[in-house]
Amino acid sequence: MVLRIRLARFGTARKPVYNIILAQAKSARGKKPIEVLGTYNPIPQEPLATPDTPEFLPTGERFTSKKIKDVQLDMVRTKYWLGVGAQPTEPVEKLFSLIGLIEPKPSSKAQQPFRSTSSSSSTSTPTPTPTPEVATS
Amino acid sequence: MPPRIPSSAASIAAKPTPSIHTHCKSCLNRAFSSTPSSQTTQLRRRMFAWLMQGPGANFRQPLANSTNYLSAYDKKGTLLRERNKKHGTSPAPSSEGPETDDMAALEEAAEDEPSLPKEDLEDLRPFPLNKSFVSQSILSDELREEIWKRVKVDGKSVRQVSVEMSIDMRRVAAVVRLVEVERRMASEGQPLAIPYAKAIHSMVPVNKLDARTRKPVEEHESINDLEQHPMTFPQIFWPTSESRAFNRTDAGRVFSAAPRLPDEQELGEDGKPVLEPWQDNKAEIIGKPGHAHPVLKPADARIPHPHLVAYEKDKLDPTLRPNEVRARYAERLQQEDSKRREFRERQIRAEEKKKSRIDTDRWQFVVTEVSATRAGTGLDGRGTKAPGFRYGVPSQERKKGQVKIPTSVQV
Repeated sequence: MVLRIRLARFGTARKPVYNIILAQAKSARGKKPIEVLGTYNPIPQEPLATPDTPEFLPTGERFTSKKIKDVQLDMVRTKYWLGVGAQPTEPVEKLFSLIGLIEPKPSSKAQQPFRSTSSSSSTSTPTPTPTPEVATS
Repeated sequence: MPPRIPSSAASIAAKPTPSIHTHCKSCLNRAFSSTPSSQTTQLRRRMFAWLMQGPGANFRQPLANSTNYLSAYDKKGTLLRERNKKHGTSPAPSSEGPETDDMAALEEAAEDEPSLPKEDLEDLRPFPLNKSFVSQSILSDELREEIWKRVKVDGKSVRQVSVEMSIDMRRVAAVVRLVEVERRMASEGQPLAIPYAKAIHSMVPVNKLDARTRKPVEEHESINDLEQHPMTFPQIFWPTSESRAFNRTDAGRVFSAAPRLPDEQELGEDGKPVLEPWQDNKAEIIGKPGHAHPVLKPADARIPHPHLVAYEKDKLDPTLRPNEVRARYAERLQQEDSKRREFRERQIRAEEKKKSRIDTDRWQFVVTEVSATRAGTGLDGRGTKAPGFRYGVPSQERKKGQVKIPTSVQV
């Protein structure tokens, strides 16, 4: 049987929140998993303002920060399970390749521009907090 | 529909004797009278007497720039503090001049304002039957602006401003927040309820800003008060040895069921230096997991401004000059402030270190590194320290009696 790293939906109607779990591929979505590796909130959240957050841009318009999507992940356990052959499902694969845990598929066109835009977008818009480098496996 | 009884006016004029022919049977058995009561009751007469001739007449034209509470007047309607000031004079004259009432009131206020003495405690009781309620003064607009300026422009800490102005730290923090909100609203062009604020400020006692000293005219409140801690509610009989002093630190440990400190850790014994109360700011946690609680500190360390204790000690020291005392105090404040700021920055840095931020076209993914182990879920799988939603643990979100609004403000 294949072990899969996949998402298990929680939350209420129209407010999904996901557990990132390790489970048998054929088991039901809501079944108790082998391990919970983390969570993923797909709804973009408004980040909290810090004392450094500017109210206005130098151009004079109001500063709006990028909305954030929250991912909590146990990297050590995830790397272990990927190492012993657990297969991520497609959404999880996209997420992991974004984080840098696995190589992005050459076929997925969405993966490549992310890297290039990440540097360009960070230079164009002033973010309140410095962007640390992406964790690499 | 049964026939209606004719209107009251007609029935008074006719005055028929109630009999079985004129009224129904049940009407004769009624316990109340249907005669209209046109005459005023005594209560109503007294009310109008109080309003027109009595003390109530004062409130038709209230005193400007003063509170207008009932207890400031006697039974005849004389302002007590005015009567006490000039003995033998007649009570405040009502408007009898040729000009309108409003004009007279304005003139009176203009004349009386400087001569009228300030309200004392007796005059500040709005409810005559509730003697223990005294109306407390609020901060004037200039005072609020001054507090905001000291914190935001001069960069002083809330603690320092609280000591300078003798206003509670929580109040200082609230003033800064509210003035910020007010400024933002003004900059966005939103309407402010200024007439309402003016009306309120003219009705309640207001603590004004002294233009010369840049401080409140009168001391606003006591800043170093300490509420009784619930841990100290029980009365405990605690036998102690006579060979050692039983001090406040020991009492706190008894109240929180912590063992007494060993002799070598005991401070203040055998000529060892006592830790200053403002330096004693690290919590000691005791108890098994699940029952862990902090040890109660002595009151000196728990008061809002413990460094004022050291300040007062310095003042009593004859070798120190007043400016030296002030300098030492300012230095201590600054040290503590920088220590707190450093701690907070370290905390933020440690938090940020666990996060990596990945920018995409539309969103920023914030990946937080967590540990999903048994230590977080607990042996029963119900622990909340590990990430993710628990399995087999129902959500308490919609359960009855769950308090979701904050019940206190942490400052």
